[in-house]
Amino acid sequence: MSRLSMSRIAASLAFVLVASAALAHAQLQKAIPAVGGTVTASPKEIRLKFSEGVEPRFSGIALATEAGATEPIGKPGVDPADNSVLIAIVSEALKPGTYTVTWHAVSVDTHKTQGSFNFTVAP
Amino acid sequence: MLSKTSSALAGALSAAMCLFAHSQAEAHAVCGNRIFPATLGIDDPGVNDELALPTVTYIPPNTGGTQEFDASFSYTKTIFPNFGLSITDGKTWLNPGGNGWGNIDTELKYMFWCDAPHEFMASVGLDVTWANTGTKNFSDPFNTFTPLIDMGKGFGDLPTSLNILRPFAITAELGLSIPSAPHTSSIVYDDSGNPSLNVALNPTVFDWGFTLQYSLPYMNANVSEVGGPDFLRHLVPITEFAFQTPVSNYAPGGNVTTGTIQPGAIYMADTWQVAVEALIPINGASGHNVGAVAELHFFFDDIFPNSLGKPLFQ
Repeated sequence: MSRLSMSRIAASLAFVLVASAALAHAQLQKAIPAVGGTVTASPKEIRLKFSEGVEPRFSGIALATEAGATEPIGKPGVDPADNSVLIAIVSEALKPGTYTVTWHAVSVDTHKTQGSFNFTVAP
Repeated sequence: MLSKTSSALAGALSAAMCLFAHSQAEAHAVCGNRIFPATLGIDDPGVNDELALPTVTYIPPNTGGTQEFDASFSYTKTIFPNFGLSITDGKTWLNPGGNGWGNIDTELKYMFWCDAPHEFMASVGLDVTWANTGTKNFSDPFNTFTPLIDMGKGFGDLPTSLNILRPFAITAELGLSIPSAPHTSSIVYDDSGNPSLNVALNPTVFDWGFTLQYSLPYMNANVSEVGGPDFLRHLVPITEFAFQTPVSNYAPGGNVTTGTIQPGAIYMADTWQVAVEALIPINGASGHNVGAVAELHFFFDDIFPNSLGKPLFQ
């Protein structure tokens, strides 16, 4: 393979990778309370860290008890310092038990993703 | 010789890249909470704007003493949402045996079902391998038509008491490869230069396969946090099973199922993935040594969401 041809391919692939730097499906990377985790006190907020920036107007978080009853939480917004972090305030203290967080997100490049996970508030 | 052929491959790849830059073009097979990665032995059940470049395969010397190296690309463009056209081609190097391009392969595919709560999706397609579009002796002189169905099922809908199983997913592909000509005739010459007519049957082949995959990204987002280095949160250990069974028009004794078992792993980044798998032949008719296959895959819907990465017609 000639050096010129290799350079062209490398440049093309590099362009693709560079162009990809800020765009993708928003995938959940970390959550507070932790996915599948246990906390010792009622959390004051649900905090979801995504792989990409999200649009809060088209993204949502819901909280439900193990029995499926909806727990009131505030309207989600993004962290002013990081638009990849979606936050919803937990309106009322959660009693000990297992809760399900269900979320959907629209990334800044309009791709939709969704997910759900449980966490437990210890007695 | 090697330099010359490599330059030809490089030129073709560059040309392909230019073509992509001048055309218009979603990636990841997403259904509900599940993201099915692109797989190597069989196709995934999604229809996406994506580019696999390159896919490289190494098959060590078989009983005939020939070793094989393949390099190929595959580009898929969505025409309408969930409906796309892909084009695939590749070059083979045999040692001994020379090298050449295979026939061009195209596939129309439609993803017709996504049951999000149950992470189930299915698509149908028609694959055509076009006659005489490759290098002589490395391509068939007849078309091959393969209607096929691809399916995927994630197990995230299992009860939380079975959390450890929820990151599992299976995908499967069923296809029937039907050649346009029942046989191929050629004139061969013996050592003395005397010609004779050689007639080879072109069998209809049932292509079937499945994958078993365990998604650590799914586990991290939906089941429990995956500790350790970030690398692990992008990893999908997988084993693929890809088989071919001649079902009609085969030579006596020629209905032996061949195929490979392919254990490996896929690393899924946000806009690309890389996969590496072993190629373990299931029997002597499939090979005698363990090969390897690797692929770099780009998700154009994520890389170029407003141009190449969206359907031509919304």
